Amino acid sequence: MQPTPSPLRTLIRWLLHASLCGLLACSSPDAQPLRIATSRWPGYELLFLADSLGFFAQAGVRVQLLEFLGTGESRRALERGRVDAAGLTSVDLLFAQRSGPSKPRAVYVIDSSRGGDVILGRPPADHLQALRGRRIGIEPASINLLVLDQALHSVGLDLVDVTTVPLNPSAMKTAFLAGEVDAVTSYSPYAEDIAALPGVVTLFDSSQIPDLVVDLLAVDSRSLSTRQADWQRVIAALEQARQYLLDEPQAALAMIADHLGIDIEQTRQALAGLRFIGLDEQAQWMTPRTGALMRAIDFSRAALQDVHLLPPDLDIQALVLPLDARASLPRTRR
Amino acid sequence: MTPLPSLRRRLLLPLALIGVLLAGSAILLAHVAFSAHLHDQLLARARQLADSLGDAAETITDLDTLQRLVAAQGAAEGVELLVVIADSDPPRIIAATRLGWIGRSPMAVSELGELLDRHDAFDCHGSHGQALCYSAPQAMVIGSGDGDTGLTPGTVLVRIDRTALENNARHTTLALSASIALATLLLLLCSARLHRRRVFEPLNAIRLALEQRAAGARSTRAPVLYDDEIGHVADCLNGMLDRLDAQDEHLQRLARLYAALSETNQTIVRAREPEKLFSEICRITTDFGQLPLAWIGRVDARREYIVVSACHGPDSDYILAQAPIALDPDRPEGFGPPARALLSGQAQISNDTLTDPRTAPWHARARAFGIASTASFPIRSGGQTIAVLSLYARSAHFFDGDVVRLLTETTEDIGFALDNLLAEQARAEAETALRDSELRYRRLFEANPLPLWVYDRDSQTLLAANTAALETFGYGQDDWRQLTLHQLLPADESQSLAEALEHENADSETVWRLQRRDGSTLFAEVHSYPLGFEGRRARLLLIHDISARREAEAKLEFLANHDALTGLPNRVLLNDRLRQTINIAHRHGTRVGVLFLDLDRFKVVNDSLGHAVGDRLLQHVAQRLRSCLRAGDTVSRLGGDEFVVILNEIGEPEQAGRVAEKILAQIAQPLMLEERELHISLSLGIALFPDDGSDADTLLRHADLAMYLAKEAGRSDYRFFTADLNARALERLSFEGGLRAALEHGEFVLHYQPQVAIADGELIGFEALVRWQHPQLGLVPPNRFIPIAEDSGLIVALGEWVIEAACRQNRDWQRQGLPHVPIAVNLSAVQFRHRALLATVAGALAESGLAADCLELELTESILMQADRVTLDTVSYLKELGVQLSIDDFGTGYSSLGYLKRFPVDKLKIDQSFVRGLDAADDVIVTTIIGLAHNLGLGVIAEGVETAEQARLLLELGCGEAQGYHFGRPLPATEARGVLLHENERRQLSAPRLPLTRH
Repeated sequence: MQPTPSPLRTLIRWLLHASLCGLLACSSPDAQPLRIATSRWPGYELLFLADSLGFFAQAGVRVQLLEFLGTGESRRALERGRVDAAGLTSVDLLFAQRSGPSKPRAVYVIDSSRGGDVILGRPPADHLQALRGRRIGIEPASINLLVLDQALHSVGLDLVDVTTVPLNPSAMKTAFLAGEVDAVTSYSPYAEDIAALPGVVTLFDSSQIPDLVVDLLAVDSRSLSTRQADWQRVIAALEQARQYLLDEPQAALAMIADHLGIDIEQTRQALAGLRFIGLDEQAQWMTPRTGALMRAIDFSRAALQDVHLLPPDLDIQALVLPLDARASLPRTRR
Repeated sequence: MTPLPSLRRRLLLPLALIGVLLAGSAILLAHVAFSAHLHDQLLARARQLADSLGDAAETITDLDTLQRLVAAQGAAEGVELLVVIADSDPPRIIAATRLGWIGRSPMAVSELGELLDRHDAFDCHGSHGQALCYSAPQAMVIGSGDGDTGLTPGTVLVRIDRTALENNARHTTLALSASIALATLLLLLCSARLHRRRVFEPLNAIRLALEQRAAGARSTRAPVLYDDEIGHVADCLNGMLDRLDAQDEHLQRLARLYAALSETNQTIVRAREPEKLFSEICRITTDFGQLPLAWIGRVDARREYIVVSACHGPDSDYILAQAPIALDPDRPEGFGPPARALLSGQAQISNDTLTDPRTAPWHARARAFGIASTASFPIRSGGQTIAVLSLYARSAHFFDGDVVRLLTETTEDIGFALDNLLAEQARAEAETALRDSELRYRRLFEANPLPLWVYDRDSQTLLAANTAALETFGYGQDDWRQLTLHQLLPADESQSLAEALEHENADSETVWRLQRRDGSTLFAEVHSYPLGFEGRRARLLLIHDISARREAEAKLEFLANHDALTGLPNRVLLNDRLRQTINIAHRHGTRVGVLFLDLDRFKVVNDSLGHAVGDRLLQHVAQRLRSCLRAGDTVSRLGGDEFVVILNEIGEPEQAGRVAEKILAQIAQPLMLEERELHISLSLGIALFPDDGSDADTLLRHADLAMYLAKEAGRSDYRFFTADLNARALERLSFEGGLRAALEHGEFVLHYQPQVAIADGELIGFEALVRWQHPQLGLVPPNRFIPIAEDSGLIVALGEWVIEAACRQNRDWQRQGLPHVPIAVNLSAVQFRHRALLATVAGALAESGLAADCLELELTESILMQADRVTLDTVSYLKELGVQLSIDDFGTGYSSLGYLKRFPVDKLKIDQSFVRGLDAADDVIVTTIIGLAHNLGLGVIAEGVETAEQARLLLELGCGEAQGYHFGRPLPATEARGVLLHENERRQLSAPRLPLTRH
């Protein structure tokens, strides 16, 4: 080879470089938006806010939000690879490990339910004790199961003491009205719709089991391995949206209300039933064994293993992958 | 290793460009194809989605199921929005990818605004940019959702993100492009590598080998890297280099020999002697050819031997030991190459001497010297072989065709050089001769005292000139160039001479007037000779300046016809003119006046002031005469103080008289000469044609006679010729003839005029005056024959007689007891100058026995004016004799008085003209003369005293002595004796007074 670069050699190098760049471009975040499955739950409106306010784009990541009827359907979409990530509960996360190659990992704690999840009933099932032998509508394989389980345990009952009727959240109201169930396990904003029916009382809510009902962003482990930086950007955009909610609550409420299809007051009540977890708290939440998230997952695992819904050898620590998104935050962050 | 990138660039760059172009074309085609089909794909997908939802809606009664389906479909890639609307009243959304919209009126959803009014497919805005919207009416079982079933119309809205798909397509295209580019690049690299290994590296290796070869590495060969075309080229190159090396060796040998030939040729050019030439050639041949030996042998005069003439090289002994070589066929060397070459005139080559039978006798010797090949070349000069050049080489076959040709050429050149040397010698001699000749003729030309010009006949310009020509014509060394012949000629002659010369082809000699630079002219004999001059048609002009000769000739001619002094026509011309004038007058019937002029007393001027003054006086007179005359009249000088004037065509005699008066008046004007005012006059006689004669001689003679008449009449006058004048002329002629006879016949007598003391009348001496007692004419006065005697030279003899007669007479009287008184005798100038004068005087005194102091000699002023040694000596001697000396006619001369002091004279005689004019009113001159005499201690006597008054005045003025008619006329000797007797008586009677009588 020549010791001095000839024009031809320069041209060849340039072509090689251009080709490599082109190949890399095929897998760039620009090429495919990150598809995130959501469902109707005020906590997931953080995703909607970030999308609507352009925080994702600002962070340099394209995101497509897909709305499903519930976290179960979101989980299934994730399991099937239809989406790259989904807003799930700890129960969903555990269930998602059972099948499919997605093996999602929790990378971000969105919120902790502090009343957003409720058990509604009406006479005669107007208190927890009265639920024995009653038909209770629950979304199958969801956090409803844990809530119901905790509620029943609080009064000495067990899941076997009641009859669970699998229902979609959106279908619960119709089933409740039709008398097909005596109580339902629901959550905002469906719960407010049902609670507004005459005679309906709240038997139990998640504020009674603080930090056990947790919503988190679960990401397909394959996507996580290839586009970790993009997920850090997503997390940064979510933090930005959380800040927006704190800074501009009225505007945020209006946007969320419009999106959820409920009025602003209902939206305010819905948001009051949960607590968004800031970026600063994420590491703490995800601290192995002692972190709140870990305890919530472990709690869920124990519950689900009790009913043999999970294999016994599940390593819950592997389900969590803390992503430090602070570097992706905009500089103006307070 | 110096890269030569140009070929690579030229070969690979197009290849690279072609690859890039092909890749670009493929990419472009792919991109166009993707773009073209994208829309169709999107549309098909939108329809498919709408149709599948519509199909589901037709069968599904459970809205959750429908919603689940919508969510599932909405999760598909690129699907942004799926909305199922039941067209109930009011229409409501029964399923959507936005859960929040379900149950709402589509009108209430702002995002659906632009979709509701459209049908079928159209472009719209999506959440991520461009999108395709599709609206399809469907029939569906779900009505209002209130439980009632049945088909109800509805609409399915689909929005698909175009951007994502387009990006997808673009990424695909880009990936494809990159792949193509990469493949192209790899191909190019492979191609470049192949080119480099199989083309450039072999070529470069060949190039390097050739460069090393060019730098001098003889053994370098091009490497054969591959068995292909380039390898074959290298192979061919190596073969060629092998051949080149072989040829190179041969060429170097030739080159050395060529260098030898070159130096030989230079030597030939320089050589002046054959021996030196041979020696040089041997040296050069051995040096350049690196030969052990070269020699040149000359054949001797008898052509029996070859004698080594020059030899060079380390093996010189090889030949020197055998020389000379006999040309004898019986001897072995007679067959050797040198002898054969000489005898045959052909080169003899023996390229393998050691085996050549011709050289058999020398094999051993050649082996010993290490000689392997020999060659001998004949050298021809003057038509025959005179020498042979033999060369020896250590290698066999040294003398191949080229070498032999070269050496043959060399020997031919040597022969040619020898011829040239001979020719050169001859030429040098001829050149020297020519140069000498040239120099000689150049000297002849340059140093020639005659002016020489060379001029070009064609251009008339002057081509050469010698020094004499330049000096004669006044030109400098260079400024004559560019002159034409015409500038050497006066304007009025240039044409004629040029033409004359132009038409002459042979030598010629003509006389021309030429012009100098300053415009002055000269006469010259021009000798003209045709001459070739630097290739031009020229003529040599030899200028012989004859101006001086011409002048002399003219002067001679002038002198022949003119008087040299005055420039007037002389007698010859006068006669000629007079004859012509007479002829003309004869034809015209007019008169001619001949005026004969003679200056009065010119002799006095001449004697007293000298000839120079006399000559100038004559010149002035001539000038005045000319001024009085008409242009056609002639004035000529006959000689002396005689002039003749010819007056043309006069009518009346009075006309001549008027001219004569005019001349007299003009001449009478005082004339300043030598700061002296002279008053001159002339006498003039006139004769007229035809009145007084019909021929020139007669007229002249008659005019002469008339002039004499005028002179006798008292001078400064004129007379016409009359008949009786002729008679007097005859008399004069007879005087001239009779004077000598008169002297012989004793016809001359002396008369004695007494000189007395005025106071008491005492006789103090006599002046002897000669008279001619002519047999026919009677007593002739001296003024009528003395001039004739002077003219004829008889004056000397006459004067001698006078002195002798006077002495004799005085002695006679003294012997008779008469008183002793001196007798004065006049000496003419001619006589004074005669060498016999002293002898005559001394002899007369001795013969007569007269005391010297009784002889007084009267000298004229003009005699003493010649104040030279002879005059002084003569006077002194006369004085030593004791003779009394007096100055006659004192005061009439024009000389200074200085001579009076130098000459020991005793007495001054006051001229009678002063005495005659003496009166009380004007006695200045006489007083002066008397005072002068007294002052100088001289005696003084007055002549021509005719009256008592004059005598009294003279006495008063201090002049005590006088002579003249008042005291006594000249008397014959007998009567003079009576005076003497009377004086004797008077003295005896105590000086009774001598009666003053007039004779």
